[in-house]
Amino acid sequence: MPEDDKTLARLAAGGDRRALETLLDRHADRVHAICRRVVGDPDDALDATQEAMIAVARGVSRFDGRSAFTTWLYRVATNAALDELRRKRRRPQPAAEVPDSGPAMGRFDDSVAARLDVDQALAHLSEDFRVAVVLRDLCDLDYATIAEILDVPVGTVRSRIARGRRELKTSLGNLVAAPGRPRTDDE
Amino acid sequence: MSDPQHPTGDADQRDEQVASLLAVEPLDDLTRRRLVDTALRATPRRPWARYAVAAAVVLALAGGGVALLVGQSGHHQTTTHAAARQPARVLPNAPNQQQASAAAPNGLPINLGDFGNLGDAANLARLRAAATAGRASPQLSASDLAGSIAAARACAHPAGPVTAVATGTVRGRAALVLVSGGRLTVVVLSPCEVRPLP
Repeated sequence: MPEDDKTLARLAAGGDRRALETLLDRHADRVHAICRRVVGDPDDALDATQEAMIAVARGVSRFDGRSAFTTWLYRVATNAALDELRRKRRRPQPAAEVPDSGPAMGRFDDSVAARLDVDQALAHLSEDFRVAVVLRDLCDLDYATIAEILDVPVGTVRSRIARGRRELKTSLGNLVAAPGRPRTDDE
Repeated sequence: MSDPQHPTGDADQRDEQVASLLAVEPLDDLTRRRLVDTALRATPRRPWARYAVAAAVVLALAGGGVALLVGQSGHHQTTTHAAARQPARVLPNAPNQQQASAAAPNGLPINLGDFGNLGDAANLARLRAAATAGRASPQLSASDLAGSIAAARACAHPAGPVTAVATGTVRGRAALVLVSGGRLTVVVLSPCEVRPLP
């Protein structure tokens, strides 16, 4: 089985189910990571991941190979995550799902609490900022690629990432940047 | 707009602290497998169908008229002979020709739909039930249907007229099921291969 994504995508587009399976399996974690951080709720993120992978499986024949396969994949994953968010907004929200007023200070010694803080901090960001920060800092995509995925100018991407990072850190109480922040044993 | 946490020169760099906060644990194997399998199952439309459409146009222009004439003149005779030749592949409660013809307007076979893995007994049972009842599914478009049938005919050379078709997979390979004279024939198109049903 060839290793590179473009070859696998070409084979998958021609009906090779094993190539498609290899592609999906290879990128499932990254698709899920994008959905998890954009959507927030773990269960909703899994739903979005599933939708994204179905979209990839059904649409791989439309991948033209002009850009990296991951660029196309991340676009599909991002759109699936945003679609899930829109569906979520249309559903009635139980009171328990509404996040509290903000993350508490000094909870980074508890890794679970830290993850909750991150989820809440991300939830406070606008979708535009959140997606831009996730694609840059989680997926390590360059600005031009993010601009291509989001179909916005590079300058807009740069602005969204800068503001998103700043708001994220403000929301987390700037503990991210504090050099002497408490750390867990397993960090 | 400047970012106080990042000097201008570093603004385009990945923020490793944010990256570590955003990191997500990998999926467990079971969940990953489920996601992949579901995505694969959700793709009933085979890519070869699009190519088969092009082939269908050529085949239809070249031999469609002849095939139709042969099908009409030898309809009853060929299905009877075929059923007698291979009784093990005859549906126990196959619809009669009048029923199949009524369900196939304009002489086109009806599309029974996609039945997934044809090695799965439950899928096979659903397929047999659908073929027996002659239930059409809107899952594939008419062009997909025509292309698939043309490609399958070129592969399998069925003796009689095809009254219904269905799609599925055989060991992960796209397959078309031809229903002709009450018999089910599985045709794997790429590469061409005709398989008896288990």
